[in-house]
Amino acid sequence: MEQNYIRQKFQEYYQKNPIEWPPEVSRREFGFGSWEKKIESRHSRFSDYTELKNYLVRNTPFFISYSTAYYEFPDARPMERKNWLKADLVFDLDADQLKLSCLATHTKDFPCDNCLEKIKLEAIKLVEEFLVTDLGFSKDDITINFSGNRGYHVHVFDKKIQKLNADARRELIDYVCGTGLNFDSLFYLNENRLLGPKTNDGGWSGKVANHVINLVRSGSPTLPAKLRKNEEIKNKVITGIANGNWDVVAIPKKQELWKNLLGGVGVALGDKIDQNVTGDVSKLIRLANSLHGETGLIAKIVKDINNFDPLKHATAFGNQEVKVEISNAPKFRIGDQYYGPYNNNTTSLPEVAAIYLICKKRAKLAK
Amino acid sequence: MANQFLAHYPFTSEAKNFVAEQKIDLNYDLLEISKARVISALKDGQIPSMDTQVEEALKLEICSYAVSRMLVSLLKSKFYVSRYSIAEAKRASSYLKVDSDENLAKVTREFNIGWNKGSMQVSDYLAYAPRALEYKLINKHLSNGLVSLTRNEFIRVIEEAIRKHIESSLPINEQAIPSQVQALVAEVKKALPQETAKITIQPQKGEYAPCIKKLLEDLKNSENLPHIARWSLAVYLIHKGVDVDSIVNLFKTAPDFNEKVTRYQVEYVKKRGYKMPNCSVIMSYGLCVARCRIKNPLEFK
Repeated sequence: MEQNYIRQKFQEYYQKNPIEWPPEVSRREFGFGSWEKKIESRHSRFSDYTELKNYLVRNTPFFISYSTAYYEFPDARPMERKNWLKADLVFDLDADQLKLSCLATHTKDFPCDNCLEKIKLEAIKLVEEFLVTDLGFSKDDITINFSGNRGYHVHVFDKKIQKLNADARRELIDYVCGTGLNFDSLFYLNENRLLGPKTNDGGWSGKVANHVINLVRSGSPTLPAKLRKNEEIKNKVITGIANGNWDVVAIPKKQELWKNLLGGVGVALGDKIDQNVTGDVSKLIRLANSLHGETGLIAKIVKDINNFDPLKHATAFGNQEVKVEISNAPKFRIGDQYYGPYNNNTTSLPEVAAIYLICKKRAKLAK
Repeated sequence: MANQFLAHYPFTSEAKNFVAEQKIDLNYDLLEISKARVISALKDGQIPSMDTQVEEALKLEICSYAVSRMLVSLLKSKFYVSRYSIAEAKRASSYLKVDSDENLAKVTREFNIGWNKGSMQVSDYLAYAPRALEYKLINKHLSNGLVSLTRNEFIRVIEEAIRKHIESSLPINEQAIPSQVQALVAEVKKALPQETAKITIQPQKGEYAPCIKKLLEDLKNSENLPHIARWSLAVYLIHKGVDVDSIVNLFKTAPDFNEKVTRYQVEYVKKRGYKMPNCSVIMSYGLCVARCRIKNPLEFK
């Protein structure tokens, strides 16, 4: 019964709303998900927008994804016969991978405001610091989509990188995640003075200098007391590093100290991206502005990331009351309204919240 | 001296056009020079450079590249194609190092790769950079889509582009190869060392981790493994108690094998006592094939 109800609601959405389609839609492989499984069938092809739109209205899958790759024969099987032509570059960021401490209070199916805010900041960092500043992609070639659940998909449609193979894409992931940084090569001794990266250096060199300066400025507890307590020393160290002089104050085993401070940067970053999505050149990714079958939220194209609130701006359904039996759910928010926690309650909820819980299999329609 | 450029870089379209316009006379000299070129590339992994200004000699040199490609194609071996391409690329790269910026630019235009004020486009860099730690993108200065490189580093990247270009253009269709060239194949084969027996090694007990098995399999098939893959394999096998000689022998099937260098490197790995990288790192190298749910490949049983 729930399945039919959700399918009917999704169908109404697809009837009323224009959908987005990726460039060269006829070269893409499509996959669909069911009530039980995000991708249940794949190897489908649509020749144009109308065919895709009609399929969504008529068949209404609970999930729809398409290949980041372009193929000569998108519906051929097995994979080798599709004849891979090129692929967009896509990064998948999921709050689940941040391993935030708030997870203890809400389980991963109910991302809280903190989770959603932190993963948004990661997406902004990826785009601003890495894709635009370092890699030189134009913002016109980058789109950010909400995943429909608790993360973001960042797409790069730059023609220059479409031909890159899995190995080369892996290099890009390593760059973004800080994997394989040869830390020692950043430093050298000049007349017994430790010289190293400067804040205005390009690439990771500059990131390293800026990161350590921020640690010193904020008095990070990971620093030795000398670097935390004395303002005068702090300022000297900051000015020194800004100019590439890492030897302003006598500290034993300096190089190791700086290195250990950085250990965290790469790893912390690294956990935040589902590396397989970027590295695998035959991966399927959710269709922009389609509905996510586990939340009923829209995998919305984000226009203004700084002010984007997925629980407000990616909702598809209204406020009509629906009576539901809720098994259990932590406190959660949709729009400006908080709901729950629930434990074996029967109550009336606005349609948008009811659908959210039903999709998460936490609620049923009340009789 | 225009023909000198063509002799140094015979894979360029300019050289190709030159050869097409010649009435190639498959005379004794040309056949012998071509044979020597192939044998040297396959046996020693390098093609000696030749510095002549004599027009006739330059012409022979240019044409010998075309004949060599026919010979290599007739050997019908992916391993030889790969090894030959590496030697040709190395030869070109050694000329580029001492050549003018103008000629360097002329060669790189061949691959649509630009080189401007010490930097190149990141997309070109990613397509051709060698897979080695010092060439990892993260260890390069990168700003606004441009990677900063020294001239020699840039030439190393171009060497890879040349290698890929030559390798992807081989083998050529056998039917298009003149009988005089076909007649030489037996002599070339005779001059080459007997194809190395495919070496296998087995663990004393249990099994090697799937990523390691895959690397051993790739080596057997003469895949040109990236440096980081070879290093990981050597570290793993040393931890498993395999001796240096056996490890060096394993690498004999690599298309760019050089015994002296390999032995030095394997001994160095042993001396330094490197730790086996964890699975997360192996994954970041792109070498993980199985997601075994262990922490380190050495834990695999």
